[in-house]
Amino acid sequence: MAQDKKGKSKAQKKSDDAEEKKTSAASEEAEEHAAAKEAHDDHADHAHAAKAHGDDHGDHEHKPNRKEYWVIFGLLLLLTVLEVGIAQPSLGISKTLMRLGLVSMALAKAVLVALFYMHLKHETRVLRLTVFIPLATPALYAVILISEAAWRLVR
Amino acid sequence: MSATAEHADHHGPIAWPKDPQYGLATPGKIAMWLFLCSDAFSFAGLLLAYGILRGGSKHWPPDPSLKEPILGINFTAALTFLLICSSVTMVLAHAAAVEGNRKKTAQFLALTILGGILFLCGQYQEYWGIVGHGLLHEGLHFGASHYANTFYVTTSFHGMHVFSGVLYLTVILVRTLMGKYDHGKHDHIEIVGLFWHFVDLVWILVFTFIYLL
Repeated sequence: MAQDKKGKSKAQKKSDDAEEKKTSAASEEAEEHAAAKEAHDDHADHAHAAKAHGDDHGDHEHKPNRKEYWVIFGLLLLLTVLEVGIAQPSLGISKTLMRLGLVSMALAKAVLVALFYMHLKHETRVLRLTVFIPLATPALYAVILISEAAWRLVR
Repeated sequence: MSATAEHADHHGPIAWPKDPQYGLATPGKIAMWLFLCSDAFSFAGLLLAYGILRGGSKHWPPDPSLKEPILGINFTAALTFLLICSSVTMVLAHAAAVEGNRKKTAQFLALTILGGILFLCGQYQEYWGIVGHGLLHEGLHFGASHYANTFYVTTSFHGMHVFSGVLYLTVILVRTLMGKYDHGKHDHIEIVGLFWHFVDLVWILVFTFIYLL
């Protein structure tokens, strides 16, 4: 069993090296299956095959990628400078366009931080959904309630 | 011997079985995510209130006769930059912890704490003014208008998060120096990182919605 574990960690390492692999439904299913009956040797072999195909998410710890961190830092910086730039009133772009731009850039920055710095990109799909689905509700509220308040004003 | 070999090979919790839904995410990490979701709702509530009050006002600041000051963008942009930098030092601290480098982990954690403290100083400067006048002296009084209220409540609630984040990071730094997170047990460093990045993420939104829009 200990031998088995060691072999698996090697396989995990390999799958780690191969970045950005899509989770195929088949391998996920095979894995769940294997996780349930890990003790059974036949199934453990099955899991090996699935890992070799590289389900990269939540399987094992993701190795921090410093280059990626700096790229994200650059993007965050760029977006911040752009935001401050288009927020200058002297530019004279329409207010609606400016607001749309600012909100989308802020959301883009928030998503970048969540996916890369908070490692959500490397978590399982279930954990990602656990986080993102509830947060869609305040966004929905914002659209409905703020437009309602604005409508009262112009009515 | 084989145990140490596995240690070297393996980073993170070794004995934890893989969950079909959450993979190798530890209960601590999942719990932090759930907490952050609920915390996000607190901020969402404050920002929603702000959005509704502002959306329902003809002018913003709502009462021009109060002569309330317009929020300074450039200084706060610098604070945003500071928080983004401290997020970078946080991920670098985690990266060093994964590699088992205690000294580097502690250094980057200390830099992150420094970023947090500087941010708090910046907020103090903005409110009360260390150099020059703070917003309070420039006529932005809590209770005077929706403009002042939403500004102070939202930014001070965020400031409290930065403050608790600094305390939390300090505890983790002390424990790092005590060697509690050696041998691949760096889960707590990732978890404190989640909290810290969340504080940064919220500031990105607060900065845009309250200051820039």
